[in-house]
Amino acid sequence: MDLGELTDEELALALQQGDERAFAEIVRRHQNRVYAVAYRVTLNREDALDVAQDALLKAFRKIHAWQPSGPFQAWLMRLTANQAIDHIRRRKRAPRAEPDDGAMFRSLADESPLRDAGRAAEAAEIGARVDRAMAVLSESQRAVFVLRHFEGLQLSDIAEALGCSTGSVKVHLFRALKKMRVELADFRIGPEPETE
Amino acid sequence: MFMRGRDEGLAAQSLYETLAPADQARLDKALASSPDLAAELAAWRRVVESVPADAPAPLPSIDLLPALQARLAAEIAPRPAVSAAPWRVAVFGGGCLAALALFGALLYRPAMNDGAPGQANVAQADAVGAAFAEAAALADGGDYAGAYGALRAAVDNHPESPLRAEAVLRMADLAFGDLQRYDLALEDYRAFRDGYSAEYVMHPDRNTVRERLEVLEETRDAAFAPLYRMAGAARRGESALGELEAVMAAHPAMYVADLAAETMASILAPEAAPGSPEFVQAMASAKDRCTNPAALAQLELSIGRYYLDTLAQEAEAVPHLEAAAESGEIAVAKAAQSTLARLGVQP
Repeated sequence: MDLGELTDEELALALQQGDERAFAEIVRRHQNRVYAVAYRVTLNREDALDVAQDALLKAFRKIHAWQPSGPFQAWLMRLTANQAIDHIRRRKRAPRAEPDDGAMFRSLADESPLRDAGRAAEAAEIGARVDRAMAVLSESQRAVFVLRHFEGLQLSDIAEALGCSTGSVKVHLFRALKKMRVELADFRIGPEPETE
Repeated sequence: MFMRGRDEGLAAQSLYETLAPADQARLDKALASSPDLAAELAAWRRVVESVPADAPAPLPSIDLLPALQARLAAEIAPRPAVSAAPWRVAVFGGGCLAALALFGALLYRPAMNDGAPGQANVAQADAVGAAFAEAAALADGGDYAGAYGALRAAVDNHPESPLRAEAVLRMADLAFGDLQRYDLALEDYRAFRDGYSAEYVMHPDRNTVRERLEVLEETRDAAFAPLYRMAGAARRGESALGELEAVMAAHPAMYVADLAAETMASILAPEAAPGSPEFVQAMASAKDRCTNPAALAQLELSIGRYYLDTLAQEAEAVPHLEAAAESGEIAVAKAAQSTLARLGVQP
């Protein structure tokens, strides 16, 4: 059986039934995304590596906590964000104020169909600028923003993941948007809008 | 009259999700009665539209699968017998000045020469294992370059040895702590982290390796000059306080500046143990010995960070962070503001 042809949910079910080869496929398939969530919440490459590993191990150990009624990837991303917040709170030294700049990480754009070097560079700059803007958010605000904006999770699911009320998630979200608005005041993608 | 917080929450939610009819009606009413809220929502919509959901994200520097598999395997396998006992010491060499000991101990790793090379407990009859014993003997005699060379030769000539990862790590430690070859240390710590990910992830000294990498990468562009200044200052005691002040002023908000502040404290209060209230009080007393405004601002930041990160005393940290945030030193103020924001404190 080619595990690469299974859906995420089929892999998770296989792992629940004891097929540890499924875990290797899950890691191969999701480690980049798990790392991305971890990095966007911690804003530190070393922390993100730790969080990504801890999250994937937790997924392995707690696989029976995943319910087949929901998408596996969303469950994994929630688990990762939670792990990231816990990690920040336990970390001896606070994360650096400035996240790594665009030159420090290999952009997904470099490996995408965007063959044009200019577009790839622009995409990398966007990613770096967004990450710099998110540096002003608290870890909870970042986690909520990352899970909602980048991962598309419902606010109720985010609340469950973070162990708080949906109301609290909404508060984190609007505070995040308020701060991001200030940080990205001069940031625009594409042509300037027409003014009257 | 609208309840601002609740209505802002609904507004934020409306950007991403369809609201329940009752909530939508409430939001519509709030928007109609508050131009400010409507303007805020419009601004947030621009943020959401400006930040692509598929914005490029950084990729991990290593493949996580081998490390994960190694960790899982270690959980079910019996722990191997302790090897390389010469490397485990409980106390940094007793003949050192407290400050020098602190500088090394701040980024503590077991020293090479613990005085017991003859008790090498290397489990395997392995060429790299033999190199450990040889290197320990050389380091015992103060020949750190020779020790480094012995390990380097073993690593280069025995690529399959299971002790290779530990040997690379020991080379990095020698380069950092004994040779002060920070260029080699950076290279070797990176090689350990990136080339032996499973061993790195599981290593009990991983956090120290990370901190050393952080300070090395931070000072790389300055040819590691702050580290050389720090190491030299630590040996000279009180006469070097000015040098440490200069390091803080020259590298604001950087980890090396925090280290300089802590080294000043250890010089001023050699009996105070790191992590003790007396130690952080010594950091505060260092302000009386500084005249450079940038260094003074940095001290406030370092004290705040120490309370927060080392002592987990957030209430004590805030006043110092606020003082740093209000200083005229841009990098320090920005770092302090970022930390205060993370704590949810408005500067």
